[in-house]
Amino acid sequence: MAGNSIAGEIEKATMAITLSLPLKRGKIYMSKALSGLIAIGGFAAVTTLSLIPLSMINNVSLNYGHVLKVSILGILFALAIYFLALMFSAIYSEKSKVYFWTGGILVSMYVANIVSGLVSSLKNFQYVSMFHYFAADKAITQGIISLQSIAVFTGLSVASLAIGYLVFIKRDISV
Amino acid sequence: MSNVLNIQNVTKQFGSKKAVNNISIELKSGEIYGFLGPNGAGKTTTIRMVMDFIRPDSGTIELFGNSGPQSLAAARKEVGFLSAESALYSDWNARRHIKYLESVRGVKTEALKLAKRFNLDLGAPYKHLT
Repeated sequence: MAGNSIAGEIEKATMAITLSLPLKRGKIYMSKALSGLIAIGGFAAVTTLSLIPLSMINNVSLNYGHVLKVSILGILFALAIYFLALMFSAIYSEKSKVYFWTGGILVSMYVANIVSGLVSSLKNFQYVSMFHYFAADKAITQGIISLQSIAVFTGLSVASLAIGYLVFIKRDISV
Repeated sequence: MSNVLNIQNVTKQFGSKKAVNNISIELKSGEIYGFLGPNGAGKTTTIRMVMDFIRPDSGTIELFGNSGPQSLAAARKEVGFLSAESALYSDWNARRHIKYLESVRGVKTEALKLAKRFNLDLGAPYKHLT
């Protein structure tokens, strides 16, 4: 979605329509960011709320506070990935490069998290991985979201959003 | 008569290639201007700079008295842009395109009325049009 929203539009040349309108670049970028926010928030709300009738049908007791917390953690995690991809989408004019860098970073982080758990000498590698901070098990069983997780996901989101914004308002777009 | 478009000493370079070299154009209200030149002369680059898709390395561009990215955005309300290379949204139909452009530009056009008058089908997605 993020790859399509800017780089995809440049690739398909539909970005020319948007850029020819009386809209500031910053507004275009923030509208792309907002659409991602709404989509992720909506998806999280639907999946979370669907647990309520499911738990009732199956007669399973559910701690709604814990479910809400795991949803918040999921939203923050998904937004951090979305804004990272949106940043690459603002930098590059080809979707393939956006997918390469976003996918590459995510796979590297995932591998770093796994390896840090297997090799004790590489234990500190876990801190460079977003997956280390996505402790969904603690959120659902104990209702705990660490401040560190919130800080990392929010910080990454804000930094990606800011870099993408600055690049997008300054760059040349040949459409 | 005031200038609609005022391009002064604009230069744009891509890498080592100078696409536009110190061009100056003044276009006054009511004038019709044909912008001709051989392939690679820098016509498209100049138009893209006027539309603020790309920024000049040096020189100034004023559109309806506005210059700089922020002001040019507002000035584009007065500009119609149609490129041979630009595309429409493949999943959108003609009606949605018209309504979208009208809403962002804050204008109401006769396009939908005319389409109805000529019995045009605006419901088919762009990708299905020939």
